[in-house]
Amino acid sequence: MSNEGSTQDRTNDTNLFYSSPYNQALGLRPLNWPKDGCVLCLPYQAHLVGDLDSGAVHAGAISGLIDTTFGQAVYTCIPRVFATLDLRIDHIRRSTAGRDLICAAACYKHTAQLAFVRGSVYHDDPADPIATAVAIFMFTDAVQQVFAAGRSHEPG
Amino acid sequence: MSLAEAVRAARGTRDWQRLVQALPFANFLQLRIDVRGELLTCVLPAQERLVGNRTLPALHGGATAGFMDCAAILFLLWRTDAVTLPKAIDFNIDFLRSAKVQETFAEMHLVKLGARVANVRVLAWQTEPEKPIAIGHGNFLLAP
Repeated sequence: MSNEGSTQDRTNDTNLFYSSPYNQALGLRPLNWPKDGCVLCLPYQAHLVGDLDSGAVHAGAISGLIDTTFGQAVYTCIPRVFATLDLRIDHIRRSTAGRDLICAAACYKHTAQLAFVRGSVYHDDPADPIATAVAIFMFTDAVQQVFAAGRSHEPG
Repeated sequence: MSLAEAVRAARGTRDWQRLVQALPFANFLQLRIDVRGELLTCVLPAQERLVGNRTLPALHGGATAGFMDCAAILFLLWRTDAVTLPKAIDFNIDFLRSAKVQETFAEMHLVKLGARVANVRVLAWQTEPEKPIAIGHGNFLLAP
């Protein structure tokens, strides 16, 4: 599961980001942190290919890019400790061999216990997505937070 | 070696690990295939580089997701006559428990095999199948 620390300092965020061995193994690079989200880059690498015939990056590597970007988007919105509850990915089209992938994510809603994120993956044009995704994250420090707030903001 | 050649070689020799060699990302994850009778299990060895959170420590959700996606594709190459790579149309994962840095297993269930699309359910677990760390399901396009 994706988990992050609980500091508001952006320098520490970057350190947290790089301290994740899997983010390093994938070679993920931060591009931009809009106020409600995150934009990361997955550089094209031969060992991430899923289809030798086309050279396209494997859907599973794209899942890693999405999970990390989405988690960072949550943390940008609300710096708390969380875990991925569910992740849904639609693979719209095959990526092009040799080209980097960009994932842009926005945390569009958060409650006392949950954060809702959507985003997409593309080469350089957000209007021409390779994948779109939605995910729900659960704050793992929620019990204390809800207790401190005295009420819950859960939907339903 | 092209994918079609690798698939034919794996089917001919029943050495299913050859499929992993034909999938660079599966190789990157160091994925293993274990076939016992009518059951194929994919194994993701414990690796420090798959960690998402050093503090817990826990496997990265993206690594678990990538493993399950690979496992479903390898399962379809084993279970069907496809010689082209099944392509994920969509994939959904529910993360059920924190994944520890230990060996992870994936077992697949072919929910439906249509002419063009296969629906596959993937169960990922570590210590026992009754305590899954994640469950996923996806639709895979069988022919281009």
